[in-house]
Amino acid sequence: MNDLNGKTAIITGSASGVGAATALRFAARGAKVLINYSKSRQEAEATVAACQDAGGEAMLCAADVADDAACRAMVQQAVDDWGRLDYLVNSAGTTRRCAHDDLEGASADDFHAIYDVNVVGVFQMVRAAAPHLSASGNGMVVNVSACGGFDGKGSSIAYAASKGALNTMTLSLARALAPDVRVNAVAPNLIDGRWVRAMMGEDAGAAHIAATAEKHPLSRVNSPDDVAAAVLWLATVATTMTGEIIRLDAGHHLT
Amino acid sequence: MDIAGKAAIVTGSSSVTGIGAECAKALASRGCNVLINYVTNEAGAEETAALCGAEGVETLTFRADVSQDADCRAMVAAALDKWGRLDVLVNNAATTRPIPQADLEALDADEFMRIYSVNVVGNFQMTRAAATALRATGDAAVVNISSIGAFLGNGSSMAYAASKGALNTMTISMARVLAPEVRVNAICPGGLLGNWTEKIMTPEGYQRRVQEAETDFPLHKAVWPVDVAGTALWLITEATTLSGEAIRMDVGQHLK
Repeated sequence: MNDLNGKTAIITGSASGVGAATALRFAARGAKVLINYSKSRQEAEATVAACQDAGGEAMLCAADVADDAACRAMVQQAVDDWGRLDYLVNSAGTTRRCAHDDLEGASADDFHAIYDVNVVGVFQMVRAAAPHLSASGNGMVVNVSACGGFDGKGSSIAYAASKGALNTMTLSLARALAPDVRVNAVAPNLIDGRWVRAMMGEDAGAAHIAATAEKHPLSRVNSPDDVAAAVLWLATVATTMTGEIIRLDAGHHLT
Repeated sequence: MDIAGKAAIVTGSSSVTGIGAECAKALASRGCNVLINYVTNEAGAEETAALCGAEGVETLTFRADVSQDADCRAMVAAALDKWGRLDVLVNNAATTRPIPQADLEALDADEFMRIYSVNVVGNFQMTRAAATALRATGDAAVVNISSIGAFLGNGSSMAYAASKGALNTMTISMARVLAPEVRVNAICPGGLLGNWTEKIMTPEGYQRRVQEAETDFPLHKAVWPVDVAGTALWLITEATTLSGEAIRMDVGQHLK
């Protein structure tokens, strides 16, 4: 299916996980994608290759979204080469793990470091991309948020708070950029991907995923591709939706 | 979920350009056999079935009033007789009548009950009748067509809005009890244009709505039945980690 031929997408934080899965789905439908990473160069290069194998055009861009100049340079790189920008997927995110009841374990520095990427980084990317998304006539932003923004759960209190802020900013940006650009968010809970294994260790991560799946009404957890599917739906099908936050939690809110 | 060769029931799908018919056509386009349900519009049901059949799937038209439990059970039995399975249920059948919300005296208990019996009880009866078959597939989906009125209390009448609020709540309850085999979600269109809206509005009101869509709605456009069908298809085929959700589709009106 090449229905996105000629369309272009920037996906921040797309070396692996949700970002990479999203890039692959865009590429498989013929879109040109920019693969962004801050540290994981090898994985990002592999994602570029995978997108090309899937039939799309892909470029690589190292950038930390917390750095405004880097955000503007990333958008410029894409627009210089492609001449247009249709989609921005803000998938870059960070966390610092800290048990919620260990209040003394969380510092203002943790809060700031997380906020800088998860919220300010998204703002800076949207600001840099906005004129080009508007010009495309059918621009769209998807922010990859988290259920922690609703329920305050997740890897740390600071992380959950940042996602709450991101959800709220999604509303503000949707209002500010209508009617030319739609802005929505996806809010998954646990994703069976690299993050959880890196944070908890391979075995403990796998055990946590299995135990969590058992607790979910749908008896499963999200894969990165489940989240990517929702991003593509928002981009290509949900053309009458803006300012929405789509929860992907395998029914956990029903328990 | 790949729906090719599977079976779906779409209630209230006899208006060729309405949400139900668009959902049926979308399912058929992916190879899913569909039962087209109608109450009075047999010709429209046949036409919708023909359009679905053109996609190469099998169709069945079935007259049933979802407010009648025996009708619901007979409709499910007919689908099972023909296809031996049921994977998808789209509960689209609904009713309303325009009654200005400020005119409290114009609304009465009978109207509340009439609307409730279709929009909520009918939905319950359909899902109940289908539950065993849906569960048996191990991976099934129910989509309830609700309305933005569920959140905002606006729309054609207060009784209608209340019925959609009840439907959203019931979507949550149903999702809980039918998990993990069956996902149950709702779509809540707002700013809908098309045959349904035209039918329940005065011609002048409808024209105003058309203009309002282009100027006042944040996305400067309206929602059309085909938009709802696109998201219904996504919920059925791809949203495998969603259940108990009410997806608002309102061209950004909640941002105003």
